[in-house]
Amino acid sequence: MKIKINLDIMMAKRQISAGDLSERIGITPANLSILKNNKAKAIRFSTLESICRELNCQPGDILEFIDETEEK
Amino acid sequence: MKMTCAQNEQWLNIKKILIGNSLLPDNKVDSMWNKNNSLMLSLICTKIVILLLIAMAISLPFLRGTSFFSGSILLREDSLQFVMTLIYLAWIPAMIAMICLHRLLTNIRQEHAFTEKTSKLLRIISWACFIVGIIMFIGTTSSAAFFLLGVIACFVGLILRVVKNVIDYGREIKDENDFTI
Repeated sequence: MKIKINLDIMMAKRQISAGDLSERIGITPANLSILKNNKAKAIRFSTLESICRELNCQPGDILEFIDETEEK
Repeated sequence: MKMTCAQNEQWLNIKKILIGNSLLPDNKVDSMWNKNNSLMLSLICTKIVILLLIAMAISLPFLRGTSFFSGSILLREDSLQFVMTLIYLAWIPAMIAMICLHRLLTNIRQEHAFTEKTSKLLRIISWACFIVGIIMFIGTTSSAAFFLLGVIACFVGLILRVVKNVIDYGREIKDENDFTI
């Protein structure tokens, strides 16, 4: 996936567990794990808003664009 | 019917009272048609047709002498045996198609409407229709009516193939929806 989700890092920083976070956001733990494992194809703005509110961060802290075609 | 603001409000209040007392049907809940009822209707009709098919298979030989077969302008008198054989031959794919249809409806009932299984079942049903069409075409040697039946069967088979294609596209959309968090 070209957009990487860095939820684990943010969750560790704020010390929130997965079950706790999923309850606070309002999504099922299954959906949260889909998100964490980069299997999600799209995210709703409402969900992103909830995540940023609960983790007290910006969307850029969670979403990262990885350009796979770039030769380093 | 144009009403003033005050009359509109009065009408809304009256409707609320009537709905509250179940004297006026609330559209969303008490409507006769919703997709569950429609599905149950399809399921019941499918079961009835399966029973009719079985009854037909059992009782067809007994109709030999009756007016069901004799004196009909569609058949040559000597080809009765041939026609009976064809009907029984076509009964097999018809039964397969009906059973697959029943399974399809059960799947839809369990919310598996846009899965690979559905696609496969639709493919089987459409092939069964085509086979029935071919069998009917074989029967045109006996009567011209079978040609028409063959055409109709092939047409239905084609429609089912198109439905299968649509379901495949629907699967893609559902997948994307499922993975939207």
